[in-house]
Amino acid sequence: METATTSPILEQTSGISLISGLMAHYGETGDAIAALRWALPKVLNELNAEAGSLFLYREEDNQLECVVCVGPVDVTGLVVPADQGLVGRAFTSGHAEIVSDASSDKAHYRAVDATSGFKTVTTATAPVHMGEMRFGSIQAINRRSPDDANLIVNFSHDDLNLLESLASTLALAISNVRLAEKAINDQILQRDLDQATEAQTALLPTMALSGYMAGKVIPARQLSGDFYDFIEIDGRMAFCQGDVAGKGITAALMMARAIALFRSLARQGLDAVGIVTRLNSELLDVASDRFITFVAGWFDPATGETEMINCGHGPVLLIDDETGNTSIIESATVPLGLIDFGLETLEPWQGNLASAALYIVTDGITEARHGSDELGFEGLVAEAGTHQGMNGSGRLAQIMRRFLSGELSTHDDATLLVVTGIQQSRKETSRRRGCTLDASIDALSKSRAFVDSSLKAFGWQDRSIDIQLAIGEVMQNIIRHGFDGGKDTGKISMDMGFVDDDLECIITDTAPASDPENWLVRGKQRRPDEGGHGLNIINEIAASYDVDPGEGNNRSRLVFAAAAVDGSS
Amino acid sequence: MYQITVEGDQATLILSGEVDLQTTADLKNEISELAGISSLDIIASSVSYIDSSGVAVLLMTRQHCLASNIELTISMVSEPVFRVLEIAKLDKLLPIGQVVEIDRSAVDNFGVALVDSSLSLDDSASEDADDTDGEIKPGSFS
Repeated sequence: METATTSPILEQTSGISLISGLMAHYGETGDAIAALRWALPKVLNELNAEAGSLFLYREEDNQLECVVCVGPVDVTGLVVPADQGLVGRAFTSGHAEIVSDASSDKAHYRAVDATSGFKTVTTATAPVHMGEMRFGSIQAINRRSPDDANLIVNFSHDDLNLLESLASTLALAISNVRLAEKAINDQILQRDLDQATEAQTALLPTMALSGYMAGKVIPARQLSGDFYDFIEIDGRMAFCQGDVAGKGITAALMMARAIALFRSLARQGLDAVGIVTRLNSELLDVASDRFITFVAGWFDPATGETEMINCGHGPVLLIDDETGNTSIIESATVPLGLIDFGLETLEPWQGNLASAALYIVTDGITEARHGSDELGFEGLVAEAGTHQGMNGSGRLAQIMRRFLSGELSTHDDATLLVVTGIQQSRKETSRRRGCTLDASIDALSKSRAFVDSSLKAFGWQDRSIDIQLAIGEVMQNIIRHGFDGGKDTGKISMDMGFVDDDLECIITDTAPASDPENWLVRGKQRRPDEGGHGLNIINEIAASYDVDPGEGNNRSRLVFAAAAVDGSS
Repeated sequence: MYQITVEGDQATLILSGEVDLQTTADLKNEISELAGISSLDIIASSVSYIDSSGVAVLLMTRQHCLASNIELTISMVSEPVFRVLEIAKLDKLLPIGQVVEIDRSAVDNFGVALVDSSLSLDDSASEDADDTDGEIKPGSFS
């Protein structure tokens, strides 16, 4: 076999142009294989080879797959074990080699030649690798003589050096492409995660039910397995809190399902035991190793009568405002999603919350750290003991302000739901300011001016931007939904002052009674221009927000926790 | 307040002052009609206040640009804008370049009254502060 005596000298620019060309093609098409399809003919052209192929390694089945092929026979898609064939040998050994007579080499894969009529005579094969990263092998077949294109000659060592250089260049380019692919995938994943977090936040109630119920989730990660919900049905209020085992997307999806089922079952009028029994059956129907610790109940604000069932959840604290007595409501059964409740008799807790409050928490609350100490259930009891006379929103705000100020910190999802029949006994100070505005669109900027000047007068100017924003969102909702974007006439009154150390803003308007559920758009995928971000903003800034609709006298109330004034929020 | 300029196939949207429901209704219409351009740059370095309706317009603009194959950049936003996007957890979704301190001179040049200088406040309401029967006292803004 004749050996080529001359070989094209690899110009310094060849490798660089190959990389930049590959990246440019990948950038244009977003298709790594298409970019390699562009590159391989360039490589073969440098070698004056008749045919060639690029095999990439598939880690999942330890095979080499031909992803790009140039020449008279297309073997794209051909798969060979990673240690077989000439390409396998180069890949496994990590060494480039020349074969001067393929037909006499045992490793040569003859099936293609046999079926296609193509004759592989000489080959040069080089591994495509970069350090420890092995990507595959590249093979040039049948070097044409520079003097006679029909004459096949042997590849020279210069050719092999050139092929190795190009293989290294290719490895660098493949590595870049894979990094780019990973960056894009990470970006897509992050975007999906952001959207899922937004969707999950929208599932939770963003306001208190007239002060009787108020809750908050502090997620440890973007997606939480903790949740709570409450809903008013025919004058009674159903509530729940749950903690899905595990975290992340799977837990978030299970949480979404549990909330949807809870709402559906509560609307069917099932009692607390009925809700958890049906919910448990539904969860058992779907094969999963996840379970949910869960509390569900009903509260009647007219009488304070309450029933509740605790399924594997942590202890629930009951504190009586009149006597100061506390008691613990332990779990009555196992978490949901583990066993069929069919044969079990579940006994709900029954009591009266007219002068008492329930604190339903996940372990992120009781395990919250205060310096080197844990809050613990005892700490929660002590904290609740200072909430005498407060409604649900007030009690929630008192605990959340400790998290906001950094006094308490948590590394787990932390969720608190307060249920009480007690309506706020307000310890108001004399520092109050008020104004009444025409319900026109101008009221938006006027209300901001009022809030800003009031906060300056109160010494809260550091939080003016955030509080203007939260109150502005409430004003926007009132004008949009209550006064048809300012087309209807009416009045909006604002009153700001302090209850204990917290800032309270009460906004009343003369619009027809509005059901907050109509504009809350909970759990629904919204178009970006449909709004809905306002409630997230309010929820992030205010310690609590509740709405009490009334004909010609809608009342919205926001509370801003004092602790954050120190700038620690 | 806003201003849209188109030069060749490149458009620029300058937002300034207060961006709320008052501004966004018209702005939404103008954005949705943007066509025949290859790029849109938003400059929001002089925005002193933006609410969720303004955020919704930014998101709608992003959707419109994606659907119309227009390259969107938001080269500058003021700190108040970035703060709202952060709170709404949308700061990573939008192609934000620089976050800058608010350019007050540009706000003034647009003739937009700043929040703290737009109105003189009558403190009469605060003098009625002892009355806590829940009745709202009239102030000076009606």
